Parts: sequence; C-alpha cells; structure tokens
Amino acid sequence: MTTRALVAASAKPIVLSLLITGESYGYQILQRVRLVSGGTLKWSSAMLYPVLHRLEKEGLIRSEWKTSEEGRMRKYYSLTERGRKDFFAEKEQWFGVHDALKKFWAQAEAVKAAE
Amino acid sequence: MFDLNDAIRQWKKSLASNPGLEDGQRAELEACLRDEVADLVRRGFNPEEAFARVTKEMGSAEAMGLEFFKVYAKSPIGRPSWTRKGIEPSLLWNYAKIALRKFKRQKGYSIINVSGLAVGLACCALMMLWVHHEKSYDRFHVNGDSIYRVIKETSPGGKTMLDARTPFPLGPTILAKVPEIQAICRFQGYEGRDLKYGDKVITLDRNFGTADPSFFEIFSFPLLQGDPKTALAGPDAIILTESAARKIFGTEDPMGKVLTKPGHRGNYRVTGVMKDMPENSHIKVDSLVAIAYDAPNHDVGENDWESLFYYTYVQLRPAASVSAAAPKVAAVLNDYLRNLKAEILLQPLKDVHLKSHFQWDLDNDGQGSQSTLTIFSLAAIGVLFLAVINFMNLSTARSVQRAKEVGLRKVGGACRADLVGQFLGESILLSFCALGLGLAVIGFALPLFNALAGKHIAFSRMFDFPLVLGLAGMTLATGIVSGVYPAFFLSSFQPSRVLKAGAVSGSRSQAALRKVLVVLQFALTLFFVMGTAIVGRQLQYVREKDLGIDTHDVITTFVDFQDFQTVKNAFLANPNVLSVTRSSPPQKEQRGLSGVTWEGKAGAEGSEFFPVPVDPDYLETFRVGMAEGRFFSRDFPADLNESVVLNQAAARAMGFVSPVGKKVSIGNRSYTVIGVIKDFHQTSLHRPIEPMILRQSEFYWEACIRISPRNVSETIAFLQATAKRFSRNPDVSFPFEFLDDRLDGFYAAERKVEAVLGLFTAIALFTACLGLFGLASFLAERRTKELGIRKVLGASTSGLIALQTREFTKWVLVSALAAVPASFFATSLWLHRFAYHAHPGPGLFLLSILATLFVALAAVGFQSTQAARLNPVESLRYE
Repeated sequence: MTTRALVAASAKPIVLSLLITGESYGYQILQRVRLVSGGTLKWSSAMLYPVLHRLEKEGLIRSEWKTSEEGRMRKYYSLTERGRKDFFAEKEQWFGVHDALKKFWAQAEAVKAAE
Repeated sequence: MFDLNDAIRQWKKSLASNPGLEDGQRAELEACLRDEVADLVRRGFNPEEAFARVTKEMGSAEAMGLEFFKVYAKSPIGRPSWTRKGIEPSLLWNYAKIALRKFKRQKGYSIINVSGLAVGLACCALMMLWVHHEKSYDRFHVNGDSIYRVIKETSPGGKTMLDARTPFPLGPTILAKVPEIQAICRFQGYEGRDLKYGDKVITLDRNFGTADPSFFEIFSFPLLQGDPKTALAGPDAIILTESAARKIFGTEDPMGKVLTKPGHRGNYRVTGVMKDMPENSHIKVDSLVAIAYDAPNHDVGENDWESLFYYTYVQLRPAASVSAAAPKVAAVLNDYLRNLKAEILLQPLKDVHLKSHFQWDLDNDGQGSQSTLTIFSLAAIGVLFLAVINFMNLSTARSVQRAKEVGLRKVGGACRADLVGQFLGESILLSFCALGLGLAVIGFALPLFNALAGKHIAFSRMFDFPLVLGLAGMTLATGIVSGVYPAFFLSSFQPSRVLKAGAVSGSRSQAALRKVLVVLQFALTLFFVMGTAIVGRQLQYVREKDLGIDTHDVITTFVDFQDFQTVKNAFLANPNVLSVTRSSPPQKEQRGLSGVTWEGKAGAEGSEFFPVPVDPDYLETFRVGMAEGRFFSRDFPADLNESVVLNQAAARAMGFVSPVGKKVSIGNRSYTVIGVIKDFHQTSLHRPIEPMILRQSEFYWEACIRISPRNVSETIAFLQATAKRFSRNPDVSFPFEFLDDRLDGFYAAERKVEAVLGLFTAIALFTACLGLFGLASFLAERRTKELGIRKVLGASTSGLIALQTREFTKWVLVSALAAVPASFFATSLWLHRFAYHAHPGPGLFLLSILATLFVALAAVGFQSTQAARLNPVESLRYE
C-alpha cells in the first residue's frame, strides 16, 4: 500500500509523464497507471479528476472534448508547452530525491551489516 | 430488469444535487463511468454489478463535489458556501439578544410560558424530592442489605393475613436454632412520651421504644455517649436521643441520671445518649429501654409464645440465603404454636417503609405507599405536560411574528439545522429559567407540602447529587419536548414565501394540531377535576353514612382507675354526662377470634368472628338497636360470664333462624345467645360488616362517655378534673378524644389524597386556562378585522362573544368524551378499596364538566369580550 500523501505527491509527475507520450482521457490514464505500476498504484476516478482539473488550472495541461470511435463524447487531455517544461523539472526533482534516498539506504545497510 | 442508461440517469441526478459539481465535470465523470462499466462488462461482469462497483468506487456526490471545490477554492482550507458552518460565536450572542428581546416584547406570552413551566417543573421537582425521600428510608444502615424483618403469613378462615408482629420468644429461639442468622433484635414501640425527672414531667416529641441490646450493633444508630455493647443490657437502662436529653436535662450531663416513667414501676438510669433518629428511619423513638425487662410490664413472660405483638429483625450471615432461612424460622414458630400454620417471609429492611401493607404495623401513620407515590408522580408529570402543551401551542400560534426573522436568517445563510438549534436553545433556556422560578416556588410550598404529607423534608435535600442530575435532565427534556415541534415548524418556512408582505398565515394542519393539543389538555384537566370530585364525594359519603351506631358527642378515654364504678358515678353526677360505658368503640382494624363453634355447626366453615367487649351501658351510649332478644343487663348476673349477643351478620353466618337461646362456644367456654343486635359498622368503611360476638368484659381498657352537646368544653374540663382525682397515676394527663375525630382518622390516607389531588387539580386548571387565555387573545387579535366587519354589518356584541367562545366550548366538550370514561375507570379502581362506597352518578360528571367549562369560558371570555366591544372604527384601522 502506498500512503495517501505519497500518492497525492506523485500524482502530478505521473500524469505529466503519461501525457508526454501523447493525449489521453481519464479512464485510459487510470488503466495505464495500474498497468505500468504493476498494480502498486490504484487510482480512483474520484481522485484523478480533481488532479487533472488542478493541472489544467495551473496551465500544465489542456483539455478538449472529442468524439471517440464508439461515438461517445470524451474529454482528452494533452500537455501544454509549460507542462512539457514542468515534466523535466519534476523529473530532476524526483531523481534528486531518489539519489539521496539511495545513498542513505546504502549507508543504513552498511551499518546494519557491520553490526 | 436493470437498465444501465436509466441507472446512469439516476446517478447523474444525484450528482446534480451537489452544487460543487458543474455540468462539464458531471459529463466527464459520466464518460469515465461509462468507460469503466464497459470495460468490466467485457471482463465478464453483468452490467448491474459493474455499475454498482464503479459507483461505489467513485464515492458520494458530496465527497466528489468537495474535491472539485478544493481545486478551484482560493484558500486550501476554505469551506464550500453550500455546506453547513460550525458554531459561529458571534451568532450565539445574537441568538441570546433576540431571545431576550422577544421575551420583553411579548411579556404576556413569556409570563404564561415561564410561569406555566415553572409550576409544572415545581410539581415534578417536589414529587422527585418526595420520592427520593421515601426511597431513602432505612438506607443509612451499614448492614442494611443483610437485615430483614420477620413477617408471618397465616390464613385464618381461608383469608391470607400478613402480620409483622411475632411472639416475644421467637427472636432468641431462632438465633439459637437457625444457623443462617447471625444476630437478632426485637423491637416494640409504645405510646407515652412522658418522663419524670425529679418532680418535673417532660413530654418528649416521639414515643418510647423497647429493644434488645443488639439494637446498636445491628442498626446504625450511633451512640454519642455510652457503650453500644452494654448500654441497653441493664434492667434499669434507658437511652435517650440527643434532643430528648437536652429537653430533660438542659446542659447537665445526662449519664447516670435517674428518671421514672409515669405508670411504670421502678426507676431508669440513663446509660447512653444516641444521635436523633433520622427522619427517614421507620424506627423513630426518643427513648429506648431494654425489651427483656420491659416485657413483664405488659404481662409478657420470657417464654410467652402467645404474645404475638413484637417485631423481630434478623441479620443474616454474609453468604446465607433468605430462601433457606425463612422456612427454618417458620418451622421453629410452628413448633411452638401448633395451630398457627404460619409461613414466614423475610422482608428486606429497605422495603419496610414503602412495601408494608400489614395489619398493626409499626409506622402505620407515616407508612409510605408505592401506589400513592405513583399516582402523585403521574399527576405531577401531567401538570408539566399541560405546561409543555401551552408552550407548543403559543409558540406555533405566534410563529407568524418570527416568520420574517426565519426568512432573513435563511437568506443570510442560515440552514435549517442552525434555526432548529436556535429555537431549541431558546426553549431550553426558557425551561431553565422556569426551573429557577420553580425552585423558588418549592421553597415556599415545601412547608405546606410537609404539613399535608406529614413529612419533614428539608429543602437542602434538593441539592443531593441524584436529584440535581434528575432535575437537570427533566428540565432539558422539557425544553426539548416543548421546543422541538415549534423549532421544526418555524425552521421550515421558505424565505421566498415569508418575506413577501403578509404572506404567512397559520396552516390548516397546524391549527388542527393545536386543537388536538387543547383537547388533550382539557381531557387531562377534566380527569383531575372529576377525580377530585369523586374522592370528595366518597369522603362526604363516609362522613354522612348511617353507621348503625351513634358516635356523635361520644368521648373516649383510657381506663386507669382502681375502681371504675366510683369514677363512673362521679362522672354521671354532672347532668351533661349522659351515659358511661366500658366498651370497645369502633376500631380501625379488628382481630378475629379463633375456635368459635356453635350448635349445628357443619364442618369447618370458614367465617371469621370478631369480638366486641362491652358492658350493659353500651346500648344506651351508642344507641344501637336490637333486632331480637335482649341486651346484657345487670339484672341477670349470669350475663357477665355466660351470655353473648350476636350481630345480625354473625347470626346469618351461623345459620341461626331463631338465635336466642342457642349455644355458642369460644375456645373451651360455652355461652348462650341472649339477643341479636342490629348490624352496625365497628370498623372503617374499607371493611364490610363482619360477624361479631359481643361479650361483657370487666377489664376493657377504654371508656366511652356520651355527653350533651351543650357546654362541651365545661364538661370536658369536669371530666379531666374528675379523672385526675381518681387516677392511679396523677402524673398522666388524660387523653380525651372525640370518637368522631377518631373515626375521621380512619380515612386520613384518603383525606391526604383528596388534599394533594385538589392542589394538583387547581394547578392543572390554572395552567390549562393560562394556555387557553393566551390562545384566545392571540386568536382574538388575529380576528380583529373580521370582528370589526361583522359589527359594521350588524352583529351584536354578545353574538360576537358567542362566536369566539363557541370553538373553545366545543373543545372542552370533546375532551369530556375522553375524560369521563378514563376518570370513571380510574376512580372505580380507587373506590374498590372501600367495602361501602358512593356511586358517582352522571350528575357528578356533568357538574365537573360544567365547572371546568365555566372556568375555561371565564379565561377566554375576557379577551373575547374586549375584542367584541372594540369600536369598528378602531379595529378596522388596525394594521
């Protein structure tokens, strides 16, 4: 189980990295999150849509209503130029945190082994 | 059949109820829902399951709305405008201000509400105080849970009789023979409050008692001076209460002082001083002597099993069971008294006060009664209920005046719960104000109540923790019950309607509810009125019934003379003394005779016979008629030991056609019936006329004196002086009692019921009329214009009054329909306590209804008359 705080924090970079490969709609995003994370992350629609709206309000993504192949109306989201920039900035940040964590854990392992 | 599109339509509707979700957001959520459902269906779910699963995962409309709101909110901790705010402290102040202002503006209504509730709460609080007091009896004993009183149950003549009195030797015998019993204490109280110290006779406040030395170990009556183990052991020991000691000796040390008791042999020496016995103890005496050394004064020997008049208390061992001990006690008793065939009940000490309905009990006058307690508590709740109805009626009736406030508050953002809270808060606040006033009322009314109920309850008991808790709870409940309907009614107003000028008028259903409540109120009031009327009627019946015996102008006194005949002659020397007899006057209760047989008695018939000790002057003094034969006479010396007179009931019970000359034996003595006296009431009217056997007795302890109704006080002074001259104990003051007063005393409990019920009725009537008055003035106010127009069109003042009062009359009459059968049923239950009772006819009920109607119309009439007399010029200009 991933904690709520971590799910909330990682929502933005995940959505950005999904959309960098091309436009997508809500349900597809949900499914791809589940698929890519191997089931570790399970998002609900009640959680996803407010996130999408917040990103749109911040100007990182834009949305457009289109008719799907089945003939239903769907709202498609895609990255804006700012969103694209933000994606790289996010990635830097997360890698920074990731590297730091890796070093801390390596130290912790070494101390544990020495005991 | 499940239709997905239909289900989705419904779901969208529910989303629409949340103002946080906009159209686009709802469309997006719907698209997602459809995608997910389609996917699940592809994976093998049926549409219904899939739909249920997805909607559950999405959560409620409210939660989703709140999430979306957060996205667009300016501040991350903001609250959506459509959700309820928590408590707003600045508004609380506004609520209080409005409540206070309303109180001031509508003084009349507020006074009606508060005073009605105050009286109702005061009644309930008083009853709680009383119940609390009654239930607190004998709970102060440390060993209380293991102390029991021995009650014997016998069935003479097939009738079950419970008696708290036991033979003198029973206590020590069962202590030795029944292993469950750890300790015993015998007790008996006696009339007589005089003690002599030096040559001074002091009358104490309470009677004197006799008990075993174990008294101070079993019961928790603390000794201030003296040793609890030995204080009551000596033959001349006497223990006084603190206040008795102060009364006799003042500031002197009482220990070791010598006292005598008028009429008793020997001296007493003070061996202990105990604290005054608490008011809530069923044993209440001012002095106590050793029972073992006192018994001979009453001709009772140590092994006298026939002396069936001592109370025996037992303390059981910690693990002992009552059900095991009781049969063993019964076995001991039946062993010594073979004819008794008694069962034994062990009555827990805490039940003695409230749950004893035995003959000849220790505390018969102060005895509590569970049923009286219940009746009065219900009556008090009834009065409170009347006040609550007033509150509900007046606040809904006057709701129009608050409609605008409700509208404005709603426009300003108040939701329904805020308003309900506000109005409930108001009524709870009002209830607590009323409680304050009610407590003040109790402060004044408690002495009156104490006098009525014969209690000494202190006001400070009101602040005992359980009572405070009960009072607060009751007041809170009153506030909620009286406020909840008005609160929900008022808060339901729609701003758009109430803010339009003059748009609100009372709804039809609300007026109907008001009618129902008023009818209920009057039904209850009428119930009270009729109940009081019937109780009063019965007491009048009791006073006026021809008893078959003339008890007027008859005085009774104790016979304590060396030679009764000399005293009698001295009495008769006064021309105002008409006759003197040494006979038993009517008694509250009678004890039956055992072993009565007669000529031709077939088998063991079950009639119980009662003895009446008389002398030949009985007939003249009591003016009872003979049905057959003759009465006792001094001309027939054999009458003294060999003759009896039966009453008609006894002659019937024995099956005699011509009783005179028949033989009757009592125990092993045989008598001849010389006459039959006409039936008369020897006991209270609770009991039927029992079969009685009149015998001559030279040793009966009461004398009855018929005096002339002229110069009564002079005659009594003469009797008093003469009695003192001849008495064996010149110290004893002679109690002269009018027989009629004693007969009145038989109905003391009923008289108490009448007094308290009367009080409740007055309060109920007052409260109901207060409400009616308020309602009438409100209705009259609302109809001012209508009345003005009617008057212009030619209606007379009296016609207008009739128009207004007609409806109230109707309500009272409808309520009578409910009240008559209810009170008829309830009072007939009560009347069955009497073997002879009045039969309340329709007249009594009619009179009660008319009286209530009259009072109700008086309450309504004032307002109606004022409204009807208003000059149309004035009334039509109004508004």
